[in-house]
Amino acid sequence: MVKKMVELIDMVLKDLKESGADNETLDLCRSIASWYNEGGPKFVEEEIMIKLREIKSVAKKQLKETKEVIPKKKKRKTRR
Amino acid sequence: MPKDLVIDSITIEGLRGFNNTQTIEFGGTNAIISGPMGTGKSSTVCAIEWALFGDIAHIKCSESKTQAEFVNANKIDQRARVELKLKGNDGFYIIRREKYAKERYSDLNFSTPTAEYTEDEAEKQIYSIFGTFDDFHRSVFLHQEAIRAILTENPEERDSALDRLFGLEGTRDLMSALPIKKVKDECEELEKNKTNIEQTIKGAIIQAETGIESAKKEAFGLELKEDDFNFNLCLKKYQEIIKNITTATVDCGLEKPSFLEPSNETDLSNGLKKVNNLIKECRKQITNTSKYSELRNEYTHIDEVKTKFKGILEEFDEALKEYKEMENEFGTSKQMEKKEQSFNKRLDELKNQRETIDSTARLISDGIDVLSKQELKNCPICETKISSKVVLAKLQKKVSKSLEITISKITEEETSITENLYQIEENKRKIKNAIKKTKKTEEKMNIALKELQETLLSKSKDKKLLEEAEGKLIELQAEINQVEKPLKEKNDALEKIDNLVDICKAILRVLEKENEYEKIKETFSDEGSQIKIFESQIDKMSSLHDQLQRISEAIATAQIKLARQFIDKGETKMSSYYNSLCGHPYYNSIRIDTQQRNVRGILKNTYNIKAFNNREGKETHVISRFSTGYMNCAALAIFLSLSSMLERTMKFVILDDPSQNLDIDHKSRLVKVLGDVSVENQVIVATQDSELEKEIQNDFTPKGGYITLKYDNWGKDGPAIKKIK
Repeated sequence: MVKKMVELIDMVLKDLKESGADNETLDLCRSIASWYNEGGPKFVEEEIMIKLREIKSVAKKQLKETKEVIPKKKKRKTRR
Repeated sequence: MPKDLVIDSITIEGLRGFNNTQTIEFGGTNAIISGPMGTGKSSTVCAIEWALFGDIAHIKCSESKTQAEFVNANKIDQRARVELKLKGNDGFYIIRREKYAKERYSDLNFSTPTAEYTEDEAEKQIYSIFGTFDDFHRSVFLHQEAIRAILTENPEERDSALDRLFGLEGTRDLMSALPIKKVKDECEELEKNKTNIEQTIKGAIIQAETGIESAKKEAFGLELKEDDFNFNLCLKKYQEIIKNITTATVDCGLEKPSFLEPSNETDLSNGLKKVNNLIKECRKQITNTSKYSELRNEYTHIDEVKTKFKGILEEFDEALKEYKEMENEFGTSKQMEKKEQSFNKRLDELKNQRETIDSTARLISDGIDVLSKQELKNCPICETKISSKVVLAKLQKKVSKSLEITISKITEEETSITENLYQIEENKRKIKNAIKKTKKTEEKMNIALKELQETLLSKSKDKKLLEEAEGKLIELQAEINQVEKPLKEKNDALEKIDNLVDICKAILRVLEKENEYEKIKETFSDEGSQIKIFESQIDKMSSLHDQLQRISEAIATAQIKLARQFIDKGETKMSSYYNSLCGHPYYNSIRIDTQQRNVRGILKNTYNIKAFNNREGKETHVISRFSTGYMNCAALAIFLSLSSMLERTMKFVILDDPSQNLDIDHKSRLVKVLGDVSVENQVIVATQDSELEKEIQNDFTPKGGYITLKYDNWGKDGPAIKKIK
């Protein structure tokens, strides 16, 4: 099986290169292969989710900071 | 690395159906394990699997993590033990595995012709020589469950089984592990957030612009001009305010306040709040000044009591006037009573008159009755001849007319008197009410009079008292005016400060709104602004999605290529086995087609097993068209052909119940194929099929011969095995 995976990753990288994939895609593909060898498919998913959460957390932070700049609407006092 | 490993023997104890120790000698030859259902045939082949990998694929041990189900329930020490002896080109390889029911892991010992290994090291060595558990299942051990999986109509199960056969289950798992959909969802979520925030920003800019306009409008109302909206003017006004409020506070007898030098709008705003509080304090102080307060209270009290008395006095006068007018109109009570008495007297007289007339009328009537009974021919007075009936009729007519007139007059007078009496009664009631009202008002007036007298310390009454009250009020007002003058000046000073504060606040409000607007504009127009960074994160997420999508497609393409290569390589052998096993009257060949299938955005390999007719170029889906028996033959052909292609150290093939659903003819074909397989492999077949057994006895003639292991009489100790050569 290991042999098959090595063979497969080689084929995938070759295919990506031939189809003009950028370096980032190739690096991600290599990382996926190495994560797979390290901890199997679950580990691959976890690592990609870490990447996703990193991007999301920066985006969320920016969103929060952007919202802070916008003045909040003042609540009108209701008279009783 | 060893080659051509075959099974020499296996010793089983406490595993599944086996209780006591039993050693089965194979001696590297082919073996047919036969016997009725549940006698331990599958347990024997599973023992080989368990010894090698510590697991049994087709037994689901979900009930416990310890896999206690592997251990025979009757075994006293609750221990399973298997010793598998394999013979290779360079000597014997012995695997010993044992496990207790309660323990999660098994103990392992592995000895090769040159070394001995235990535990993790033994696992590693077994892995390097025998490959993985999945490799074993795709190339060595075809279990009855695996045959079903290849032939199942469920494409996911079938694809997974065939991927396992091709060694591509890893790529399948890898593809499923790529969270493409999650990344896509996140991309969409971020885009949504971006749209929302952009709309919010637009709204905030409009709001800020409106805020400036409204603040300026308010400021223009305070006579401020466009040029006045600057911090310096505000500061100048503020300094003036500080000077004035300090003086005003001291004048009001309060402590001299202290202020910090403002350096920005916030400081100014805080300073103005403090000024506002001081103005309130000063006003409170002014209102509470004792002399002024006393005079004001006295003035208010006298004014109130006076107004009240005046009001009641007027009310009393009104009531009295009303009473007098009534008396003038109706007369006094005595006069009315006298009138009433005279009317009543007259009424009595009329009543008597009526009674007299009644009795007279009765008398006359009686007289006429008597006379009408005596028939007089002559007048009793003048003796002239008369007709009594005519006389009586005339008399009766005269009398009744006279009575009628009199009675009518009496009735008329009676009615008039009654009406007068009613009117008198009504007038009496009115006068009574007027008296009552006057008395009540008089009582109230006396109370108010007393109150005013006490307030003014006077004994005067009515209008004189009122005049005194007026005089007192004028006196008090003069005193108030005298005291109020300096207070008014203080109030005016505070009013002036208040106005200045309003001006300052209006300027500050405009400045604040302008700042807000500038800040929003500045933040969202800058190239390096936060919104740009947010957009770059969306790009990153989108790029991650594209990369994963691309990699996933590349994996799918590579996977399909590998599967294709594998299938192409074994196609000839597969068709040969298919022909030998199936002998289908129409479809003479078999092929596995590979395609890509998009499952929820992920590309997956999917396989279709097709049979076709070479001569007519027609094809069909094996799964939907073939009978179960033919499908079984097709599955066996696929397994045996692919098994022969895989590189492996083990030269044995295990088939568990391969003849299911086959008729006698196909069982015979299977035996012939097994003969072919046995040329390169040690063939081990577990079967309960007596027909297959018979066919094997007749037609299975492998080069090295074969042994038959007869399983029978399964009991507490395990199966009774009889070895026949």
